[in-house]
Amino acid sequence: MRIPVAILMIVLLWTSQAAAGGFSIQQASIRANGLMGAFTAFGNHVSTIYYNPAGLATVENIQFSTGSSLILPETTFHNLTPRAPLGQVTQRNNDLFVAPHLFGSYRVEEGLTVGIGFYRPFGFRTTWPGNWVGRNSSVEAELSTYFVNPAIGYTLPDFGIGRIHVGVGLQVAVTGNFRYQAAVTTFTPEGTFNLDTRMQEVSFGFNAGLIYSPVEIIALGFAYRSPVEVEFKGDADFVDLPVGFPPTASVSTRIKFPASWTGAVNLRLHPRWRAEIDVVWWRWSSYERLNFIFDQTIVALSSNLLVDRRNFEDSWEFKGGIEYTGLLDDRLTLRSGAAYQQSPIEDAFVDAKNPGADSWFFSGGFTYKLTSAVEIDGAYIFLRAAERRVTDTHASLDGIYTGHAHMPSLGITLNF
Amino acid sequence: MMNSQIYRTFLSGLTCILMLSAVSSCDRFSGLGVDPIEPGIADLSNYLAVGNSFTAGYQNNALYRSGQEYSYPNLLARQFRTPQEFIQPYISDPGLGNRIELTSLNPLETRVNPEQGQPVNQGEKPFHNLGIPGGLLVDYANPNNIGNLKERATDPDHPAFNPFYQIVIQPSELSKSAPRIHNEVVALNPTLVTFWMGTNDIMGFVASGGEGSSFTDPATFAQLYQLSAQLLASLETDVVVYTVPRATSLPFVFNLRRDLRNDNLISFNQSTGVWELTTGQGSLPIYIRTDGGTRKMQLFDFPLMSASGYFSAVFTGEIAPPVTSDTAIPDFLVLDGPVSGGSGDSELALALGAVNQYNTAIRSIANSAGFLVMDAQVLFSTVAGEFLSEGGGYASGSGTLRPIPGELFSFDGIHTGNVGNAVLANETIKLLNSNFGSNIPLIDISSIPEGFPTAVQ
Repeated sequence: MRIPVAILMIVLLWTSQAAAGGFSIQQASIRANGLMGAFTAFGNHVSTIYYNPAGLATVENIQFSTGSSLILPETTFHNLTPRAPLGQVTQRNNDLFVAPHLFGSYRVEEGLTVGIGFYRPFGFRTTWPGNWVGRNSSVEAELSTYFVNPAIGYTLPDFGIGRIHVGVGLQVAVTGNFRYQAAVTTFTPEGTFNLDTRMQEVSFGFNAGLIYSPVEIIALGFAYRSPVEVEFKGDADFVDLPVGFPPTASVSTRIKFPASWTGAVNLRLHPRWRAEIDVVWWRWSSYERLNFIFDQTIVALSSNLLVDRRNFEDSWEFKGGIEYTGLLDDRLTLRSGAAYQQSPIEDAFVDAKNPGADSWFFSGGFTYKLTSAVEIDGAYIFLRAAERRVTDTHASLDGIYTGHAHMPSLGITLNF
Repeated sequence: MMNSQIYRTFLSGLTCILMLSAVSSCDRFSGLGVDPIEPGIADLSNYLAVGNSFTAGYQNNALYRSGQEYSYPNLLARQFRTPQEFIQPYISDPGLGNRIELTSLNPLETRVNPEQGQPVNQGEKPFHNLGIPGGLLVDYANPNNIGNLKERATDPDHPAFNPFYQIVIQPSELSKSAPRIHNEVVALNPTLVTFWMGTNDIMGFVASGGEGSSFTDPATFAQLYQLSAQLLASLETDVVVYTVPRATSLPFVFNLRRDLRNDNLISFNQSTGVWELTTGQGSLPIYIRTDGGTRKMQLFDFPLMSASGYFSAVFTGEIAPPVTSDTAIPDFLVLDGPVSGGSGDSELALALGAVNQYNTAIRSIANSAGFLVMDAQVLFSTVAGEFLSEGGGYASGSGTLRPIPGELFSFDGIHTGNVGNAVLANETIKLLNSNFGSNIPLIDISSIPEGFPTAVQ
């Protein structure tokens, strides 16, 4: 039997949409969580290393803080593909994602503090039922990175224009992994594409910032995080794909975590009240495509390269928070906040790995001072994603996504 | 005082946030999402499909679940959002038949898998897809069992025994002395029926190069169709009937000759009007065997897809090339066409003539009965014509789909594959929407997986 070569063209249409949506995790501090992340001009807490290293200059003595955020997303997919009944509903599995953090700082002298942070700034985990309609897009996807961030904060000499703190830090991506599993429905029986990669070498970037208080009650903050490009290497397994694929291949890919700029205004309107508004610009457009390079030619792809176009767009984020201190004999501080985040993902590039949509966040939080040295921090964030209808998607997964997430967090701060 | 007031305000704010989240987490957004279908004057609530292999989702020479999932009736039911599940008689891998499976992509190679699958959901009878591979028009009405449906369905020793009847039809019906498919339809009380019978009344003749079986006499066909239409009309439901594709619109007939010519293995000599084989001694006329004797292969003679193994053997030297009358291509591998000055009817003329008469009857009977006609003959012929003249095909939103195996057709060259089935479903939806005022959404054909069978070692 003769078969037209056209079949190869069709096989090529199969694309592994490999990485994810807007996948930054900004829950690097329980206190900032309570303020919904509006923390760039706050200072006074060691976790400012993540938000703005300039804030370190305001942290006294020795401070240590650790905690963890739990991210509990719920996503529902309403099918618009012809591969299942129109409108069929699929619930994403319960994908608990943990974002721990650890910070420590030491004031060398008045106006000069050094510190170090450890946190998980980018990542996601998404799993769907194995037989669901979008299995060609994703069954399981996980991206994780841990950064170590040594930093220094310094208060500039008084020039008579107010107080100026500056800070700079080194972002070191120390470990991470990227896993992805999807069904290959081009063939019967269906096969599975299984990618399992790890970060091989540490990668570097930096963060820097400024806090300027022209007068006592106002602080203006600015922070920048540079991009960090990380290489992942590992194995690609082609399970139950006897034709056109090797059983396994080595694979590598690079993911560029985006830069961000933040501007903030912090107001101390009353000795007990502080409020802040932050605006963040995420340079997601640097995340254009993901190239998977195999160590051999994959016959079904006629290439050793699999290109996954992501085409992210730069996006804005607006955050606001308010804090009230001095309750219960100055033992309790309460916080609340809200944020709006634009999704960087164009409609046509939304897929099931990390379905993104414009989202609202609402938060509440507290700090309770047990002793002068020990403070308990708690916060809770609720995320509600806008209903998102996507058609003509590159992942061939037209449908409507709705979602929300619960994000409780708890931690401790020690002052010495 | 001041403090406690602020405290309360703050707490109530926090409570609001917590309540909002609690409420939202309870709300599964079930009310959001997909727009309802406007059915117009159609009632899509209980759809039923009657037909044969095309309707069953038979492809790559077998009936198997992952192919059946993309039968055009199942695709239609998904787009209709029918409240009840559309139940089909699923068969496990590698299906019933002899499935053609890929063994290599480069070079492209296939094998025929002799293993057989098993029915997996017989307990779910009655089925909404009553497509029976190999089924004949007579099966629908089967007056006094004139079509011997009883024997063909239940007697394994009958020469025309077909196991699919027992898989699709309920035992209670087959135990009758004159079983008929119509009774199954009545029992399910449908609101919409698609009816595509008649292709097998000619296909056995075409696929065997006119040797394996005869075809249904057109006059008999018209009578049986009239009878079937009366029964369908008695249901008082909406009915869509499909015409029968012509042999020359199927890649099983036209594609091998085209491929051989494109590869310069054969050529057509314009001056002599004869097809020639490319050999070391130059281009030599090809001989074919026909019922009327051995002769040279002319413009309207089609070596069938089933002859591809024969030609492979010719090019490897295992078989003597068909360049003499003694080594002519066997009759069952060729659908011979009319020749100028020839005597008697050619196989191709017989087949095309019969199909034209079948379709004339279908259109006229359907119009009288008020049925919609989904003109598969026109669709298949138009697409094949575009392809053979311009290299085109069926224009879908994502590009042009050609009527060849691996694109619109499965590897058996006769049956549409997943993608071709989506085209059949879309053309049916267009027909329904324009006649019923409905707004059934069309299928995004690019999101249909090809589902090429592969040989699992």
